[in-house]
Amino acid sequence: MLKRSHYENPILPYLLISPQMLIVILFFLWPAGAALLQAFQISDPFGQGTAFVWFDNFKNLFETLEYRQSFLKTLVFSVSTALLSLLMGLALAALTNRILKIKTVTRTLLIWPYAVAPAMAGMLWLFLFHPTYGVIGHFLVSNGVDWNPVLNGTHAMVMVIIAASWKQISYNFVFFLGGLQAVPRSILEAAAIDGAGPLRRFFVIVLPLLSPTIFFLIVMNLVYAFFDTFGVIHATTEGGPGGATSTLVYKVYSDGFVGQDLGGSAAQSVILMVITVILTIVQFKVVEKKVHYNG
Amino acid sequence: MSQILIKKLVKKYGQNQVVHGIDLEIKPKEFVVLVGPSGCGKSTTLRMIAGLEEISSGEIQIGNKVVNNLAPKDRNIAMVFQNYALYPHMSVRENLSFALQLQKMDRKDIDRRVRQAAEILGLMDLLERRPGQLSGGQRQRVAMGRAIVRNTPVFLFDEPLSNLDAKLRNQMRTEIKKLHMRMGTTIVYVTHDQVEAMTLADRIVVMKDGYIQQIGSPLEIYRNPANAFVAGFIGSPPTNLIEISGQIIGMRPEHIRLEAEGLSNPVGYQAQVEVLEPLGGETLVHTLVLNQKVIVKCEGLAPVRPSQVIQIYIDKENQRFFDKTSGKALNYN
Repeated sequence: MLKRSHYENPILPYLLISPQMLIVILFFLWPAGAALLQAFQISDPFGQGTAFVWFDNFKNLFETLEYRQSFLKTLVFSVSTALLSLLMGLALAALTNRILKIKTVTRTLLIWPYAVAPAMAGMLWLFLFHPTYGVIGHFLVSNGVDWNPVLNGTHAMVMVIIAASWKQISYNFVFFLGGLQAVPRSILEAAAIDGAGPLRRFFVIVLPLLSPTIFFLIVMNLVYAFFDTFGVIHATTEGGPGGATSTLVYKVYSDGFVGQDLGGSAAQSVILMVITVILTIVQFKVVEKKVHYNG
Repeated sequence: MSQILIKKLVKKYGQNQVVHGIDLEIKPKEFVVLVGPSGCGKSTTLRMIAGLEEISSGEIQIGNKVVNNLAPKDRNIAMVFQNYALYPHMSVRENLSFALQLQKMDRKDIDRRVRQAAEILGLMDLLERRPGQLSGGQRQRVAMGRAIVRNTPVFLFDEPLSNLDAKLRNQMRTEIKKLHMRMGTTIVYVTHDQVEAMTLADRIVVMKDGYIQQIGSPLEIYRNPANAFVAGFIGSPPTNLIEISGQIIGMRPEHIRLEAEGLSNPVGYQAQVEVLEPLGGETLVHTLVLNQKVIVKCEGLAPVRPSQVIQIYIDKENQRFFDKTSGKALNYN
């Protein structure tokens, strides 16, 4: 049980938490409630009138091929992004961990991309990958690859995945490095004496000890890829070409604010909300089950 | 014939040299204890034997084979760590069989060896547990079991008892001794505890500041310390070292008496009693001789009081003399 604090003035504690509560109500509960309500309504494009339509918006969504495809795209995008950024983060952390003394400056530089705004990161990778003026794009084209993320949907998806995962690598790196440094050196030495080479030590000793970190990061990365990648996608492809990179979260924006289908967009955001809830439950379950290794 | 041969072994960290060219020969089945205060280079030396530290210069042979550039796993050694270093995600059984599985040993043989080791160490009921579910003493046993199943000719122990409480430490000490008698392996054992060194070792290697101070059997080192440091390090309480007329005189507390009777060649000193420490069977009398601390160990209760001025006596042949500047024993041969 948490210890209860005692205040002489019974109103004071409520006053103290009121600014935070205000923010939650204003920026979370109110819009979420509005979205929930809108999801069951249909409104005309000019906002003149609304009608209550029950589950029609949801029914419409799942009947359109575009939305079902968007689900699939989101899955491909999220899993690839999570996988790529996890692998890169782990590889960088494993390499950094081998260096006994790393300069603080160097370590800070490795964390830098996380501080870059999503739109900036997106622009950066667009500039690199653009078939006409991008360095990487130019390199690919001049080497005979028919690279064109502006017109080719698959190429666009690859570019968006790289841009989105690049930002998340630093986040994963920090957690992995922390996890790696918590592995006692003597355990690795014992394994070396027992006859395990460096690779086997990594896969048989280090990885299992990292598993709580890995589970946590998988959930965090999926949440990131699902919900926090709007900026990256908007800046690089705007969901195109032809909706090829239009993930669920991007469709909420494009259907609602560009397509003016407020009800449909709200229904989509409710579905996203449900997914978030599921992911959060999974995450808590994992954290609960997280094995505490000691000694 | 030697099991481990160390020649002019040097360890440097950058410019900082911590082991200064030591030589040591260890015979098969010998129990050798490296003892010294922290920072004396004993653990570094052990880790160089294990292959966990690089050798800066010099040579180490194990079983007549130079191992300087061999990986730890190719040196045919097993090691027990201070913090046990058990694999936390594996059961006791998996911990014990890990090395054997890597050797691609037959499933049946692994089971047999694990069972054997578990029986010796009383771990049979704990085989399916994780290290986190074991007590300190049990973890220590698993760590030793991991060495036993390997059946290597050399065991290395790095302060294996430091993390245990006093009672358990005494118990495990006797178990390690029994284990050595039973297995007949060569053991190199590092500790800072001179009691462990005295009770376990066939030969003790006393180290200080990266140099070997003395090598010898526990009794040799007890009776004939090579220098004032060794005299002051070995024994409990350690040798009293007092400076009289330009010489350091070493006197073991247990050799000093409160009366001259029964001594064949007594030398007397005037001493002022400071504190008494009655331990039941014996009493430690802390005194000052020429303003230098001298501890006297008496049988039973000591018939003296604090601040009393008394005479203490010691047999002349029980005194040791050391050079004041070098600390070397003057009558050492």
